[in-house]
Amino acid sequence: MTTTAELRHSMTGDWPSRLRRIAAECLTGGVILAVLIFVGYRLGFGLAATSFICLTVLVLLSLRGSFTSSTILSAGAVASMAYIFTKPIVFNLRNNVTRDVALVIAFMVTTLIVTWLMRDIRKQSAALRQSEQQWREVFEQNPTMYFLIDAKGMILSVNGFGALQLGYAASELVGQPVTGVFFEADRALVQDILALCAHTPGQSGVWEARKVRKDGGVLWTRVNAKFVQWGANAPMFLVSSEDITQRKEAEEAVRRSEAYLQEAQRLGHIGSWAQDLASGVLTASPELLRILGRDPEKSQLTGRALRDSVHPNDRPLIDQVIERGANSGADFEFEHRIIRPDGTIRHVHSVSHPVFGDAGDLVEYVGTAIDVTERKQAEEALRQAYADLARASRISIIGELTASLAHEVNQPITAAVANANACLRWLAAETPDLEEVRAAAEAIVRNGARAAEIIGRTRRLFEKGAPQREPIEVDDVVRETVLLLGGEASRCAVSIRTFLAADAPEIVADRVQLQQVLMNLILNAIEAMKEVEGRREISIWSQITGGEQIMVSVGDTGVGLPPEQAEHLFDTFFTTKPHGTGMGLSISRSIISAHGGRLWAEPNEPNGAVFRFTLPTATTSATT
Amino acid sequence: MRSVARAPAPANNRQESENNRLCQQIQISIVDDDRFVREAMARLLKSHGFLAETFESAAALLGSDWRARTDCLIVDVQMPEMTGLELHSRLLAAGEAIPTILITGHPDESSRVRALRAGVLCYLAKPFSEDDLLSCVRRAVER
Repeated sequence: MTTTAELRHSMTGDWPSRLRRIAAECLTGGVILAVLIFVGYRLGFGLAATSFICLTVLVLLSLRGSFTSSTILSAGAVASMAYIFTKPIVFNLRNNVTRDVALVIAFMVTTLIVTWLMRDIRKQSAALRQSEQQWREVFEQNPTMYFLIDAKGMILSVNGFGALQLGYAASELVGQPVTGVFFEADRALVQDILALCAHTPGQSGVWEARKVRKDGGVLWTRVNAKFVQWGANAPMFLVSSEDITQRKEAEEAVRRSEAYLQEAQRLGHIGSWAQDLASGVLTASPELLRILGRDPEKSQLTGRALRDSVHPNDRPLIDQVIERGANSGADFEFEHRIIRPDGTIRHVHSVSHPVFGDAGDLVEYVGTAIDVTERKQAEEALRQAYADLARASRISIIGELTASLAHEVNQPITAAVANANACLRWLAAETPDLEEVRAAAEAIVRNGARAAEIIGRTRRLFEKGAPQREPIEVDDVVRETVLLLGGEASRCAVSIRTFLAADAPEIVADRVQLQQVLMNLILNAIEAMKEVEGRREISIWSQITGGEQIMVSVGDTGVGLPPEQAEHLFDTFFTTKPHGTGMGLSISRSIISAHGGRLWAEPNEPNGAVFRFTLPTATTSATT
Repeated sequence: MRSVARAPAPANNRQESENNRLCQQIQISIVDDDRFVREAMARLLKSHGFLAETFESAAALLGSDWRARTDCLIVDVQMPEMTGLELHSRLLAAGEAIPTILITGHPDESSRVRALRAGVLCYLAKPFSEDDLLSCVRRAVER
C-alpha cells in the first residue's frame, strides 16, 4: 500500500523538477491571466468582473497546477488588477477604494481557499485512485474467485483469477447466470443458498459445491456469499470461492483409504483398537465390534467392556501378559477366547503395542485382534482328519497282519492246550504228580495272559480317540511291537534283535501312535528284505543322545534306500511297494514331529537302511 | 534244557505200563523259537513218558550232541535263519533220516505237500490236539 509520503512524493516529485514545474505553471498561468486582465481592462469589465474571470481561470489552473503556483498566480493577479483597476494603495485612493480593497482582498482569499480546496480534492482523488488501483490488483490477483452478482443471479463482475480458474476470459462470464459455472447437480443448491442469502442480507452463506471449467473440468470450491446493498446502488451478491479441490481429493483419498482399511479388516476378520491411558478412552474399529458380537452402528466400547469380553478362564493369562508387556515396553501377543453377548465363544489372536510419549512415559496402547475361530476349527478338523487317517492306517496295518496276529495268538493257545493235556495226564496218574500239575497250570495261566495281551494290544490299535500322551518307556513300546510283529517276522524268515538302552528316561508320548510308527518301520524293513537271499535281520536299538533326547533306530539288511528317491521317502503317497498306499512314512513322520521329534533315514552298513527317530525325554518336554 | 521225567504210573493198565516203559526210551527233540510252545510240548510229551529236549533254533539242535540221539524231531516250520523244512533237508543231506514232525501256525496246502514230498512224517497245524501229536510220534517211533 502506498504511504502518504510516497503519495506526496509521487505528486510533487523531487525539488528541481518541482521548481521547474512551478515555473512553467506560473509562466503559463501568468500569460493567461495577463491576457485576461488586459482584455478585461480594454473592454471595461471593471474590477469585479475581471476578478471573477481571473478567479475562474485560477480555479481551472489549480486543477492542474500545484498550490504554490496557484498562490503565486493569485498574488500576481491580485497585484495586477489592483494596479490596473485601482490606484496603488500607497498612492491615492479613489472613491470606493474600500470596496476595491475589499474586493481585492476577497479575491485573494477566495483564490487561496479555492486553490487549497482544489489541492485537497486532487490529493484525495489521487489517493482514492491509488487505493482503488491497489484493491483492484488485490481483487484481480488474489487466489480466490470473486464474483459480483446481481439480484437476478447474473454475473456483474469477476476477478481475473476467478475467470482464469474457470478457463474463461472475464468478459465471457459477465452477463451470464452464475449458476452456469456450477456443476449441474449442484445448481439447485446454489440457487437455494442465494435465495436464503437474499432473505438475510449481510449474513454470509457458506457451502461447498463443484464448478465446471470451460473445458469441462470440475473443481471443488468453498463458496461464501453475502447479499449487500451499498448506498443507492442496487443490491448484489458478493461471492467468493476458494478452490478446495486438493483438499476434497485428499479427503476422498482418506475416505477411500479408510473404506479399504475397513473392508480389509472385515475380509480378514481383523479388528483394531487404541486406548489413551490418560483419559481411558478406547477407540475401536467396526470390525472389532463385529468380532465381539456387537453392532458397529450402535455400540461403543470401553476398556472395561473389552476386558470383560475375554473368557473368564483366559483372563488371568491375559493379565500376566499385559503386565509383562507394560514392564518390558515391548509388543506382546497372545491367543485367547472371547464370549459374545449371545454366549458364543470365538478364538482371537491379539497383538498389542505400547506407545510412549516424548517424556518416555506410556501414553497409549494400540492393538489388533484377529478372529481365528475358523482357523482353529480347521486345525481341529485337520487334526481329527489326520487322527482318522492314522487310525485307518493302523487298521490297514492290522489287516495286513491278520495272519501274523492270528499266529501270535495261536502260539499261546497251542501251548495252553498242550499244558492242559499234560495237566490232565498227570492228574490221571495213579499217584498224581502235583508239582507237574501245578507247573502245567501255571504255564496255562501264562499262556492265557499272553494271548490276552496280544489281543489287548491289537484292540488298542483299533481304538478311536484323541491321543493320550503319558510318560512311557520307549523300550516297553519296542518290546510290545516286536511281540505283535514277531509272527510276521518269523513268517518272512526275518529275525528281530533289540539292543535297548538300560535305564533310559521316560518320554511323554501316545503309546498307540508310537507303536504305529515302530510297526510301520518294522514292516517296511521286513518288506525290504523279502527278496534278499542272505541274512535277514532287523536290529532295533535305543540310545540316549545329549541327555535330552532318546533316539530309536530300526535297521535292516534289505535292499537299501533308492538313491534317486531318497528325498521323497516321507512324501505323502510316495511308495516303492506295488500295492502300497504311500501313507505310512508320511504319517510316521507327522506323529514324531507332533511329539517334538524328528524321523529320518540313512543307508545301513554294509547294506540295507536305517530309520531313526528322536523324541524328547519327559523332563525336556516339561520345560518346553 | 534237559529234563527227564518219569511217566505217571497208570492206574490199572498193564499195557499202559508197558507202553510207558517203552516211551522212556524214546528221545524227542523239540525245535521252536517260541519258548512257551516248546516248553508246553515238552511237558505234554513227558507226561506220556517220553524224553524231551527243547531247542530254540535249528542251529542250536545242529550244534548239540542230542542230535545224534534224537529218535523223533518235532520242529516249527517258521523260524528265523533256518526253517523247519530246511533243517529236515539238511539232516537228510547229512544222512540223518530222523523222523520229523512239522508244526506250523501258518498252515497251507502247498507247504504241506512240499513237506510231505520232502519226506516229512507229519504236518500239524497249531493248535493241534494231543491225539494228533501222539499219533505222529508213535508213527515216528514205529519207523
